[in-house]
Amino acid sequence: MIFLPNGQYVAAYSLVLTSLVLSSLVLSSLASPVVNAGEAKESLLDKSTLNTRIESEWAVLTEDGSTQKLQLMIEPELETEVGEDSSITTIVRLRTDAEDNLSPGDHSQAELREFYLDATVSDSIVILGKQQVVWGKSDGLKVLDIVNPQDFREFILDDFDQSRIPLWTVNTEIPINDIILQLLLIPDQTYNEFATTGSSYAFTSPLVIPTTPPGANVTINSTIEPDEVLQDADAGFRLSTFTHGWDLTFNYLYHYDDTPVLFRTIGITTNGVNININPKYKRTHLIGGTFSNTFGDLTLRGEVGYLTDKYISTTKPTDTDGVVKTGELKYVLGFDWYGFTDTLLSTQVFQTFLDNYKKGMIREELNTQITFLFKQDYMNETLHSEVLFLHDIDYEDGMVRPKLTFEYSDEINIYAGADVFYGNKDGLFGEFKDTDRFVSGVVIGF
Amino acid sequence: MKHKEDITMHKLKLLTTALLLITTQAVTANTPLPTGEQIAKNINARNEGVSQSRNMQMILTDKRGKERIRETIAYRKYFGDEKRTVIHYLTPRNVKKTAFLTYDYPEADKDDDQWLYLPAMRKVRRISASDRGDYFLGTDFTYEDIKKESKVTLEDYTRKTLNEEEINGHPTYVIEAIPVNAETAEELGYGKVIQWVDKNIWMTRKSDFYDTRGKLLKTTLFKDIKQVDAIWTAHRLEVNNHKTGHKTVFNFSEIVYDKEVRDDFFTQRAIRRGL
Repeated sequence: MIFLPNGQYVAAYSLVLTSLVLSSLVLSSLASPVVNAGEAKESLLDKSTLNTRIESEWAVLTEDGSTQKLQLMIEPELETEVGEDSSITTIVRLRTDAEDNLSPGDHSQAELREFYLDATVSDSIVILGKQQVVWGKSDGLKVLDIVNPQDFREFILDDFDQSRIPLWTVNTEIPINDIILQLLLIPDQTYNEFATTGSSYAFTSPLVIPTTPPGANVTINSTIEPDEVLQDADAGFRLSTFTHGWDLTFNYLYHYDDTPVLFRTIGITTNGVNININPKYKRTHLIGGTFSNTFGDLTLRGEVGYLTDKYISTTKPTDTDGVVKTGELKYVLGFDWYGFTDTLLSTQVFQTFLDNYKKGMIREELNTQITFLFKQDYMNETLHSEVLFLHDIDYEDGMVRPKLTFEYSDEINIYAGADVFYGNKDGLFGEFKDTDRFVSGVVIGF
Repeated sequence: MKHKEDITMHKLKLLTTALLLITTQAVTANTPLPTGEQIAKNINARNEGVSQSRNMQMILTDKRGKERIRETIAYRKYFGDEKRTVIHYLTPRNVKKTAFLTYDYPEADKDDDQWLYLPAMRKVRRISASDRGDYFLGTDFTYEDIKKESKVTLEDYTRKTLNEEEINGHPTYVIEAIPVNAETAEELGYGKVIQWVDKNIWMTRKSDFYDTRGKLLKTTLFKDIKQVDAIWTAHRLEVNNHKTGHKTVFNFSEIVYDKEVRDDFFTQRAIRRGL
């Protein structure tokens, strides 16, 4: 279970450790005194807190017992007070995987994950910089939590906190009586990152990648990305309030869909059928809201979102551009039940509906997924067990994720679990059923 | 002559004192003990200021003696009869930025509202208030214990006064509190509570909690009780869980009453953002 490097991984480890030392030096220099020694004023060091999280994870494929992932991740986080009620947060992520299955050819990454100023201005809060903005109430599935794009390197198995891609954002929260108005301006053209072809979690499902006729010459052109910093910025707002026992939000976001639309042209020449795929990011409006309340042992929560301009690929050869524009309604309804001591039983129903469904579209008009989550704590919350079950009713596939976490101490957590996929190979989950795995890891925090 | 008068006076004083003592004891013996309900009302009527801020150190010790220590800061404020409490975790790293917010309503038929911010999820999660018998974040206090602290919920129990006893030299009334019905007992996780309530300051000094099967579950001690800004305040709470051998100690410091605690400290935005 403990991650011990062998010879072939020394280089990768050296890179991570060197990066850690360098980043520590940078962070230390930030923390050097701002005034001459002997003066009474506080140094940045006195106003700074450095916490570090180190996680080592080992994943073994159940099919052949081979190692799928042997990852070391180091995440230092520095928080520096820069005035009354204001701070700067810097989070760096250094990651190396001794195996080459998740991001082939990219063993190690060093990344500035988050870097933002959080300041109070009168009654308002301004958070300026690279950050995550989290909307929504659902677990495991996303309706409104799409302000930040997602890294699908590990499909949806990574914690959202890790897979969300932070964006450079101007985030303001202004209280207006009992309502909080959040305004967002995101001049950052970063989009979803997908697992590369040949990697463990590369999408192959026809629900994502349209199938092409056998023998056709397929050319995938480079993706057209928006590049005007302000003109192409995402912008939105959220109104949130608590009234009569209800937590309510209204959300709006004018943004580029983080997945490119696969425009398609078909040409027939003497060489045969030529298919050109022209991926392009398209804008859409997202309008939605969330709610939650409790009724005895039960917590009801939900969120709904409507995307005005969704483009779904079609297999219909006569379609001129290979996509159909439609509106997409998504909602999730969740029930959390706390009836047993230190136990959570939670279920969610998640549906998407395409309001301009046409035959040939690669997705169904209505799709329903359900989730069940069982969580229990033991030994004064030093031992946690959970099982997440996610099932797609229409495509008859899904995944099961049992996990056991033991808090050996405040600094050391140990966990073990499994990620099991099942069902239709063409389904979004079933496509990964050859990657069932046992996972174990150690998290050290200080 | 003078000496004789002095002796007479001294005897008279002794006699008067003895008579007073006998009379007082006779009166006390004849005075009925206050009812359990009256004692509970006196506990709740005790002044605890409109607002309070304090640092709270939590020491969690398992039966093998292994300790986990959390440093937190807590605020409490009354909005009319409604009590709002917020607790922010400062250290260690694995719980840092976790925050708990509760609105405790005076109406018996209105469920309290509770939220928990878990930094790993970056989401504020609504928690069912009927979850009040669950243990609070690994401690031996339940959510209800945390919310009520030195106060009690009148409608949850029927109470009777058992006797008078001294706890560490402090005279107390001993009251027995039984949940009003099985459902409430199940919710609270207690089948019976015996409380030792200080006669002079109406603060609980000790509580024994029994589970729903009548077995002694845990003992809570309110220690180092002294006045802060003229308000009697426990500076140390100890809970011994007899079932698990686990122990929780809360040490309070930097306690301040009725200094300005902003209303917006008690919002979901505040627990999400942290301190």
